Amino acid sequence: MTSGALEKQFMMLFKTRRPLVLSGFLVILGVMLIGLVMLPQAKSIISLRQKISQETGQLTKLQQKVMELNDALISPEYAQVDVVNQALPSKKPILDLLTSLSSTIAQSHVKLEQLEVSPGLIASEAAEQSVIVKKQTGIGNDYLALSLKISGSFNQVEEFMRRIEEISPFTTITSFDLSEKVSDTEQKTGEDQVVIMMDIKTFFFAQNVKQTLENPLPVLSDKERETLRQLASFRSSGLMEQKEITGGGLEDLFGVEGYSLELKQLYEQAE
Amino acid sequence: MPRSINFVREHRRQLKFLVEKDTQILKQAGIGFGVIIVLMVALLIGNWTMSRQLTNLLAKQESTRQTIQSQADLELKYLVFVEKLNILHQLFADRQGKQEALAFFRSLFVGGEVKIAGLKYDDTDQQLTFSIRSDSIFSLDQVFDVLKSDQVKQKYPSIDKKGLSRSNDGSYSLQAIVQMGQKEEES
Repeated sequence: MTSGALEKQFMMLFKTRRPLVLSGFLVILGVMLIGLVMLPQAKSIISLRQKISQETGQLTKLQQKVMELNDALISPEYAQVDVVNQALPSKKPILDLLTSLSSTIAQSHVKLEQLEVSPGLIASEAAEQSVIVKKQTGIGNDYLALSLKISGSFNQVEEFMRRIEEISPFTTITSFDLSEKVSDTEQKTGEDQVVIMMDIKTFFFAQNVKQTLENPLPVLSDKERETLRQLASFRSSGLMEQKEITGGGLEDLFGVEGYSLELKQLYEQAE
Repeated sequence: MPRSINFVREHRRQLKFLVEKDTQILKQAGIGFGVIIVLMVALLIGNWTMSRQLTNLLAKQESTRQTIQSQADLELKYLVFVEKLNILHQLFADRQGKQEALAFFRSLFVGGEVKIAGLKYDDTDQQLTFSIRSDSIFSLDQVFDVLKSDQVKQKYPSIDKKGLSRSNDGSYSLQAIVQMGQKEEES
Protein backbone atom coordinates (compact mmCIF):
# COMPACT_ATOMS: atom_id res chain seq x y z
CA MET A 1 0.00 0.00 0.00
CA THR A 2 1.37 3.37 -1.02
CA SER A 3 1.66 6.23 1.38
CA GLY A 4 -0.82 8.23 -0.63
CA ALA A 5 -3.43 5.50 -0.25
CA LEU A 6 -2.66 5.25 3.50
CA GLU A 7 -3.09 8.98 3.87
CA LYS A 8 -6.31 8.83 1.94
CA GLN A 9 -7.62 6.08 4.20
CA PHE A 10 -6.57 7.99 7.33
CA MET A 11 -8.29 11.13 6.07
CA MET A 12 -11.36 9.02 5.39
CA LEU A 13 -11.23 7.54 8.86
CA PHE A 14 -10.67 11.02 10.41
CA LYS A 15 -13.61 12.38 8.41
CA THR A 16 -16.03 9.60 9.26
CA ARG A 17 -14.84 8.66 12.81
CA ARG A 18 -13.26 11.85 14.11
CA PRO A 19 -14.31 11.29 17.78
CA LEU A 20 -12.57 7.89 17.81
CA VAL A 21 -9.34 9.35 16.39
CA LEU A 22 -9.48 12.17 18.91
CA SER A 23 -10.09 9.66 21.71
CA GLY A 24 -7.03 7.69 20.59
CA PHE A 25 -5.02 10.89 20.48
CA LEU A 26 -6.17 11.86 23.98
CA VAL A 27 -5.31 8.40 25.33
CA ILE A 28 -1.83 8.54 23.80
CA LEU A 29 -1.32 12.09 25.12
CA GLY A 30 -2.61 11.06 28.56
CA VAL A 31 -0.25 8.09 28.73
CA MET A 32 2.62 10.32 27.66
CA LEU A 33 1.74 12.88 30.33
CA ILE A 34 1.55 10.19 32.99
CA GLY A 35 4.86 8.65 31.97
CA LEU A 36 6.83 11.79 31.22
CA VAL A 37 5.42 14.36 33.64
CA MET A 38 3.31 12.90 36.40
CA LEU A 39 5.46 9.96 37.48
CA PRO A 40 8.68 12.04 37.74
CA GLN A 41 6.71 14.72 39.60
CA ALA A 42 5.27 12.14 42.00
CA LYS A 43 8.74 10.68 42.60
CA SER A 44 10.12 14.15 43.18
CA ILE A 45 7.32 14.92 45.65
CA ILE A 46 8.04 11.71 47.61
CA SER A 47 11.73 12.54 47.72
CA LEU A 48 11.03 16.17 48.69
CA ARG A 49 8.70 15.04 51.44
CA GLN A 50 11.41 12.81 52.91
CA LYS A 51 13.97 15.59 52.67
CA ILE A 52 11.61 18.14 54.25
CA SER A 53 10.92 15.79 57.14
CA GLN A 54 14.68 15.20 57.57
CA GLU A 55 15.57 18.88 57.33
CA THR A 56 12.72 19.86 59.69
CA GLY A 57 14.20 17.52 62.29
CA GLN A 58 17.62 19.06 61.73
CA LEU A 59 16.22 22.59 62.01
CA THR A 60 14.41 21.68 65.22
CA LYS A 61 17.68 20.36 66.65
CA LEU A 62 19.54 23.52 65.67
CA GLN A 63 16.83 25.81 67.04
CA GLN A 64 16.78 23.79 70.24
CA LYS A 65 20.52 24.18 70.49
CA VAL A 66 20.25 27.97 70.13
CA MET A 67 17.62 28.01 72.87
CA GLU A 68 19.66 25.69 75.09
CA LEU A 69 22.76 27.81 74.58
CA ASN A 70 20.88 31.02 75.42
CA ASP A 71 19.36 29.39 78.49
CA ALA A 72 22.68 27.87 79.55
CA LEU A 73 24.53 31.16 79.30
CA ILE A 74 22.09 32.94 81.62
CA SER A 75 21.70 29.98 83.99
CA PRO A 76 22.70 30.45 87.66
CA GLU A 77 25.11 27.51 87.28
CA TYR A 78 27.04 29.19 84.47
CA ALA A 79 27.19 32.37 86.55
CA GLN A 80 29.73 30.45 88.65
CA VAL A 81 32.06 29.92 85.69
CA ASP A 82 34.79 32.00 87.36
CA VAL A 83 34.63 29.83 90.48
CA VAL A 84 35.06 26.73 88.32
CA ASN A 85 37.87 28.32 86.30
CA GLN A 86 39.68 29.24 89.50
CA ALA A 87 39.22 25.72 90.87
CA LEU A 88 40.45 24.09 87.68
CA PRO A 89 42.41 26.64 85.66
CA SER A 90 43.47 25.97 82.09
CA LYS A 91 47.13 26.69 82.85
CA LYS A 92 49.66 25.51 85.42
CA PRO A 93 48.57 27.45 88.49
CA ILE A 94 51.91 27.66 90.26
CA LEU A 95 51.55 31.26 91.47
CA ASP A 96 47.95 30.78 92.55
CA LEU A 97 48.90 27.64 94.43
CA LEU A 98 51.81 29.28 96.25
CA THR A 99 49.62 32.27 97.19
CA SER A 100 46.79 30.05 98.46
CA LEU A 101 49.28 27.85 100.27
CA SER A 102 50.83 30.85 101.97
CA SER A 103 47.47 32.19 103.16
CA THR A 104 46.40 28.71 104.34
CA ILE A 105 49.60 28.35 106.36
CA ALA A 106 49.01 31.76 107.93
CA GLN A 107 45.35 31.03 108.73
CA SER A 108 46.13 27.63 110.25
CA HIS A 109 49.08 29.02 112.31
CA VAL A 110 51.33 26.16 111.26
CA LYS A 111 54.99 26.40 110.39
CA LEU A 112 56.21 25.50 106.93
CA GLU A 113 59.52 23.73 107.36
CA GLN A 114 60.13 22.40 103.90
CA LEU A 115 58.64 22.83 100.46
CA GLU A 116 59.53 20.99 97.29
CA VAL A 117 57.87 21.79 94.03
CA SER A 118 58.52 20.49 90.56
CA PRO A 119 56.59 22.75 88.25
CA GLY A 120 58.05 21.04 85.19
CA LEU A 121 57.86 22.77 81.87
CA ILE A 122 55.68 25.80 82.19
CA ALA A 123 55.59 27.71 78.96
CA SER A 124 57.68 25.80 76.50
CA GLU A 125 56.65 23.87 73.45
CA ALA A 126 57.57 20.65 75.24
CA ALA A 127 55.12 21.46 78.02
CA GLU A 128 52.34 21.83 75.47
CA GLN A 129 53.35 18.51 73.93
CA SER A 130 53.24 16.76 77.27
CA VAL A 131 49.73 18.12 77.76
CA ILE A 132 48.70 16.91 74.32
CA VAL A 133 49.91 13.40 75.15
CA LYS A 134 47.62 13.37 78.18
CA LYS A 135 44.72 14.71 76.15
CA GLN A 136 45.04 11.75 73.81
CA THR A 137 44.92 9.33 76.69
CA GLY A 138 41.66 10.96 77.77
CA ILE A 139 42.81 12.03 81.22
CA GLY A 140 41.51 15.58 80.84
CA ASN A 141 43.56 17.06 83.64
CA ASP A 142 47.15 17.37 84.69
CA TYR A 143 48.64 18.28 88.03
CA LEU A 144 51.43 20.01 89.88
CA ALA A 145 52.96 17.95 92.65
CA LEU A 146 54.26 19.50 95.88
CA SER A 147 55.89 18.02 98.95
CA LEU A 148 55.53 19.86 102.23
CA LYS A 149 56.78 19.53 105.74
CA ILE A 150 54.55 21.31 108.21
CA SER A 151 54.74 21.51 111.97
CA GLY A 152 52.36 22.76 114.62
CA SER A 153 49.92 21.46 117.18
CA PHE A 154 47.72 18.53 116.19
CA ASN A 155 44.69 20.82 115.88
CA GLN A 156 46.59 23.34 113.80
CA VAL A 157 47.88 20.67 111.44
CA GLU A 158 44.44 19.16 111.21
CA GLU A 159 43.05 22.61 110.41
CA PHE A 160 45.71 23.03 107.73
CA MET A 161 44.84 19.64 106.22
CA ARG A 162 41.18 20.61 106.08
CA ARG A 163 41.86 24.07 104.66
CA ILE A 164 44.35 22.94 102.01
CA GLU A 165 41.64 20.82 100.43
CA GLU A 166 39.33 23.83 100.23
CA ILE A 167 41.49 26.10 98.14
CA SER A 168 41.34 27.07 94.52
CA PRO A 169 43.05 25.72 92.41
CA PHE A 170 41.75 22.30 93.39
CA THR A 171 44.31 20.69 95.67
CA THR A 172 44.23 17.31 97.28
CA ILE A 173 46.49 15.51 99.72
CA THR A 174 47.70 12.31 98.10
CA SER A 175 49.81 11.03 100.99
CA PHE A 176 50.89 12.16 104.42
CA ASP A 177 52.83 10.95 107.39
CA LEU A 178 52.06 12.64 110.69
CA SER A 179 54.18 12.01 113.72
CA GLU A 180 54.83 13.58 117.07
CA LYS A 181 57.55 16.15 117.41
CA VAL A 182 59.36 16.56 120.64
CA SER A 183 60.80 20.04 121.12
CA ASP A 184 61.11 22.90 123.58
CA THR A 185 57.95 24.48 122.16
CA GLU A 186 55.84 21.67 123.52
CA GLN A 187 57.04 22.36 127.00
CA LYS A 188 56.28 26.06 126.58
CA THR A 189 52.82 25.82 125.07
CA GLY A 190 51.73 22.60 126.73
CA GLU A 191 50.32 21.39 123.41
CA ASP A 192 51.53 18.29 121.58
CA GLN A 193 53.56 19.33 118.60
CA VAL A 194 53.34 17.23 115.47
CA VAL A 195 55.14 17.27 112.18
CA ILE A 196 53.58 16.16 108.96
CA MET A 197 55.18 15.30 105.66
CA MET A 198 52.66 15.49 102.89
CA ASP A 199 52.44 15.24 99.14
CA ILE A 200 49.79 17.33 97.52
CA LYS A 201 48.57 17.58 93.97
CA THR A 202 47.09 20.70 92.40
CA PHE A 203 45.09 20.03 89.31
CA PHE A 204 44.61 22.02 86.15
CA PHE A 205 42.60 21.48 83.02
CA ALA A 206 44.41 20.01 80.03
CA GLN A 207 41.86 18.79 77.59
CA ASN A 208 41.10 19.72 74.04
CA VAL A 209 37.39 20.46 73.86
CA LYS A 210 35.77 20.68 70.46
CA GLN A 211 32.30 21.86 69.62
CA THR A 212 30.22 20.48 66.79
CA LEU A 213 27.45 22.45 65.17
CA GLU A 214 24.82 19.73 65.24
CA ASN A 215 25.68 18.14 68.60
CA PRO A 216 23.35 19.14 71.43
CA LEU A 217 24.73 20.95 74.47
CA PRO A 218 25.49 18.82 77.50
CA VAL A 219 22.90 19.19 80.23
CA LEU A 220 24.06 19.76 83.79
CA SER A 221 23.02 16.93 86.03
CA ASP A 222 22.60 16.84 89.81
CA LYS A 223 26.17 15.64 90.29
CA GLU A 224 27.52 18.77 88.56
CA ARG A 225 25.22 20.97 90.65
CA GLU A 226 26.48 19.22 93.76
CA THR A 227 30.05 19.92 92.63
CA LEU A 228 29.16 23.61 92.25
CA ARG A 229 27.75 23.63 95.78
CA GLN A 230 30.98 22.09 97.08
CA LEU A 231 33.03 24.66 95.18
CA ALA A 232 31.08 27.53 96.75
CA SER A 233 33.04 27.09 99.99
CA PHE A 234 36.42 27.15 98.22
CA ARG A 235 38.80 30.02 98.80
CA SER A 236 40.62 31.45 95.81
CA SER A 237 44.08 32.96 95.89
CA GLY A 238 42.68 36.28 94.68
CA LEU A 239 45.68 36.59 92.43
CA MET A 240 44.89 38.72 89.39
CA GLU A 241 45.94 37.28 86.07
CA GLN A 242 48.72 39.34 84.52
CA LYS A 243 47.80 40.04 80.94
CA GLU A 244 50.41 42.61 80.01
CA ILE A 245 54.09 43.13 80.63
CA THR A 246 54.75 45.81 83.19
CA GLY A 247 58.05 47.64 83.62
CA GLY A 248 60.93 46.88 81.28
CA GLY A 249 62.57 49.30 78.85
CA LEU A 250 65.55 49.87 81.13
CA GLU A 251 68.89 50.65 79.54
CA ASP A 252 70.81 49.60 82.62
CA LEU A 253 69.21 46.38 83.76
CA PHE A 254 71.14 46.23 87.01
CA GLY A 255 70.71 49.91 87.84
CA VAL A 256 73.98 50.22 89.77
CA GLU A 257 74.33 53.82 90.91
CA GLY A 258 77.25 55.80 89.53
CA TYR A 259 77.97 53.34 86.76
CA SER A 260 75.28 54.29 84.28
CA LEU A 261 77.41 57.05 82.69
CA GLU A 262 80.43 54.78 82.34
CA LEU A 263 78.30 52.07 80.86
CA LYS A 264 76.92 54.51 78.34
CA GLN A 265 80.43 55.55 77.35
CA LEU A 266 81.51 51.93 77.02
CA TYR A 267 78.48 51.24 74.87
CA GLU A 268 79.34 54.21 72.61
CA GLN A 269 82.93 53.04 72.30
CA ALA A 270 81.81 49.57 71.40
CA GLU A 271 79.57 50.98 68.69
CA MET B 1 -42.75 -3.50 -10.16
CA PRO B 2 -39.36 -4.52 -8.88
CA ARG B 3 -38.60 -3.97 -5.14
CA SER B 4 -35.74 -1.49 -4.46
CA ILE B 5 -33.11 -2.27 -1.78
CA ASN B 6 -31.64 0.85 -0.06
CA PHE B 7 -28.09 -0.09 1.19
CA VAL B 8 -27.21 3.52 1.93
CA ARG B 9 -29.85 3.83 4.63
CA GLU B 10 -28.50 0.73 6.43
CA HIS B 11 -24.96 2.05 6.12
CA ARG B 12 -26.00 5.42 7.46
CA ARG B 13 -27.76 3.78 10.37
CA GLN B 14 -24.60 1.77 11.21
CA LEU B 15 -22.41 4.83 10.79
CA LYS B 16 -24.66 6.87 13.04
CA PHE B 17 -24.47 4.13 15.64
CA LEU B 18 -20.65 4.07 15.36
CA VAL B 19 -20.44 7.86 15.60
CA GLU B 20 -22.60 7.84 18.70
CA LYS B 21 -20.38 5.13 20.19
CA ASP B 22 -17.24 7.07 19.21
CA THR B 23 -18.64 10.23 20.76
CA GLN B 24 -19.30 8.29 23.92
CA ILE B 25 -15.68 7.02 23.90
CA LEU B 26 -14.40 10.55 23.22
CA LYS B 27 -16.44 11.84 26.11
CA GLN B 28 -14.92 9.25 28.43
CA ALA B 29 -11.44 9.86 27.06
CA GLY B 30 -11.96 13.58 27.52
CA ILE B 31 -13.00 13.09 31.11
CA GLY B 32 -9.99 10.83 31.73
CA PHE B 33 -7.65 13.32 30.07
CA GLY B 34 -9.18 16.12 32.13
CA VAL B 35 -8.56 14.14 35.29
CA ILE B 36 -4.94 13.55 34.20
CA ILE B 37 -4.50 17.29 33.55
CA VAL B 38 -5.98 18.18 36.94
CA LEU B 39 -3.76 15.63 38.68
CA MET B 40 -0.74 16.85 36.77
CA VAL B 41 -1.41 20.45 37.73
CA ALA B 42 -1.93 19.36 41.33
CA LEU B 43 1.37 17.48 41.26
CA LEU B 44 3.18 20.45 39.71
CA ILE B 45 1.75 22.81 42.32
CA GLY B 46 2.58 20.31 45.10
CA ASN B 47 6.11 19.93 43.82
CA TRP B 48 6.61 23.66 43.55
CA THR B 49 5.19 24.27 47.05
CA MET B 50 7.39 21.59 48.56
CA SER B 51 10.47 22.89 46.78
CA ARG B 52 9.73 26.32 48.19
CA GLN B 53 9.17 24.82 51.64
CA LEU B 54 12.52 23.03 51.42
CA THR B 55 14.28 26.19 50.28
CA ASN B 56 12.78 28.11 53.21
CA LEU B 57 13.81 25.33 55.61
CA LEU B 58 17.37 25.35 54.31
CA ALA B 59 17.49 29.13 54.58
CA LYS B 60 16.24 28.94 58.18
CA GLN B 61 18.81 26.23 58.93
CA GLU B 62 21.56 28.38 57.50
CA SER B 63 20.52 31.39 59.56
CA THR B 64 20.28 29.22 62.70
CA ARG B 65 23.73 27.77 61.95
CA GLN B 66 25.09 31.30 61.60
CA THR B 67 23.53 32.20 64.96
CA ILE B 68 25.21 29.18 66.55
CA GLN B 69 28.52 29.97 64.86
CA SER B 70 28.36 33.58 66.06
CA GLN B 71 28.13 32.17 69.59
CA ALA B 72 30.85 29.56 69.01
CA ASP B 73 33.19 31.15 71.56
CA LEU B 74 30.51 31.18 74.21
CA GLU B 75 29.57 27.59 73.39
CA LEU B 76 33.19 26.51 73.69
CA LYS B 77 33.45 28.25 77.07
CA TYR B 78 30.29 26.50 78.21
CA LEU B 79 31.59 23.10 77.02
CA VAL B 80 34.87 23.68 78.86
CA PHE B 81 32.86 24.71 81.94
CA VAL B 82 30.85 21.46 81.84
CA GLU B 83 33.97 19.38 81.19
CA LYS B 84 35.74 21.03 84.12
CA LEU B 85 32.74 20.33 86.34
CA ASN B 86 32.86 16.66 85.34
CA ILE B 87 36.55 16.47 86.19
CA LEU B 88 36.03 18.28 89.49
CA HIS B 89 33.20 15.92 90.37
CA GLN B 90 35.54 12.99 89.77
CA LEU B 91 38.29 14.62 91.83
CA PHE B 92 35.86 15.26 94.70
CA ALA B 93 34.66 11.66 94.54
CA ASP B 94 38.24 10.33 94.54
CA ARG B 95 39.12 11.99 97.83
CA GLN B 96 35.77 11.63 99.55
CA GLY B 97 36.70 8.24 101.05
CA LYS B 98 39.84 9.63 102.64
CA GLN B 99 38.10 12.71 104.06
CA GLU B 100 35.24 10.65 105.49
CA ALA B 101 37.60 8.13 107.06
CA LEU B 102 39.73 10.86 108.63
CA ALA B 103 36.72 12.66 110.06
CA PHE B 104 35.14 9.41 111.27
CA PHE B 105 38.17 8.05 113.15
CA ARG B 106 39.07 11.49 114.46
CA SER B 107 35.59 11.73 116.00
CA LEU B 108 36.08 8.32 117.66
CA PHE B 109 39.21 9.30 119.52
CA VAL B 110 38.57 12.86 120.62
CA GLY B 111 39.89 13.72 124.08
CA GLY B 112 40.01 11.28 126.96
CA GLU B 113 42.94 9.04 127.65
CA VAL B 114 43.29 7.99 124.04
CA LYS B 115 44.95 10.14 121.45
CA ILE B 116 46.11 9.85 117.88
CA ALA B 117 49.89 9.88 117.94
CA GLY B 118 50.42 9.37 114.27
CA LEU B 119 48.60 9.30 110.97
CA LYS B 120 49.68 7.92 107.67
CA TYR B 121 47.92 7.82 104.35
CA ASP B 122 48.85 6.84 100.84
CA ASP B 123 46.62 7.38 97.87
CA THR B 124 48.12 4.52 95.87
CA ASP B 125 47.26 1.72 98.30
CA GLN B 126 44.23 3.54 99.81
CA GLN B 127 45.37 2.77 103.33
CA LEU B 128 44.93 5.02 106.33
CA THR B 129 47.10 4.12 109.30
CA PHE B 130 46.38 5.47 112.80
CA SER B 131 48.89 5.25 115.58
CA ILE B 132 46.77 5.32 118.72
CA ARG B 133 48.24 5.87 122.17
CA SER B 134 46.33 5.13 125.36
CA ASP B 135 47.41 6.06 128.84
CA SER B 136 46.34 2.80 130.47
CA ILE B 137 45.33 -0.78 129.71
CA PHE B 138 41.71 0.18 130.44
CA SER B 139 41.62 2.90 127.81
CA LEU B 140 43.35 0.51 125.40
CA ASP B 141 40.57 -1.93 126.05
CA GLN B 142 38.12 0.81 125.13
CA VAL B 143 40.02 1.36 121.87
CA PHE B 144 39.60 -2.33 121.02
CA ASP B 145 35.91 -2.12 121.85
CA VAL B 146 35.47 0.90 119.60
CA LEU B 147 37.35 -0.72 116.71
CA LYS B 148 35.26 -3.88 117.07
CA SER B 149 31.97 -1.99 117.39
CA ASP B 150 29.22 -2.40 114.81
CA GLN B 151 29.38 1.29 113.99
CA VAL B 152 33.00 0.92 112.84
CA LYS B 153 32.56 -2.54 111.28
CA GLN B 154 29.66 -1.34 109.16
CA LYS B 155 31.67 1.48 107.65
CA TYR B 156 35.11 -0.14 107.57
CA PRO B 157 34.94 -3.93 107.69
CA SER B 158 38.66 -4.37 107.15
CA ILE B 159 40.75 -2.85 109.95
CA ASP B 160 44.10 -4.39 110.71
CA LYS B 161 45.48 -3.92 114.21
CA LYS B 162 49.19 -4.37 114.72
CA GLY B 163 52.26 -3.06 116.54
CA LEU B 164 50.88 -3.19 120.06
CA SER B 165 53.59 -2.02 122.42
CA ARG B 166 54.00 -0.69 125.96
CA SER B 167 56.23 2.23 126.82
CA ASN B 168 58.16 2.84 129.98
CA ASP B 169 55.61 5.41 131.12
CA GLY B 170 52.90 2.73 131.07
CA SER B 171 51.18 3.96 127.94
CA TYR B 172 50.20 1.60 125.17
CA SER B 173 50.55 2.16 121.44
CA LEU B 174 48.66 0.45 118.68
CA GLN B 175 48.47 0.81 114.93
CA ALA B 176 45.13 0.52 113.16
CA ILE B 177 45.24 0.17 109.37
CA VAL B 178 42.04 1.05 107.57
CA GLN B 179 41.67 -0.29 104.07
CA MET B 180 39.45 2.17 102.25
CA GLY B 181 39.41 0.72 98.75
CA GLN B 182 37.70 -2.46 100.03
CA LYS B 183 34.78 -0.55 101.46
CA GLU B 184 34.22 1.25 98.20
CA GLU B 185 34.37 -2.01 96.24
CA GLU B 186 31.85 -3.66 98.52
CA SER B 187 29.44 -0.75 98.34
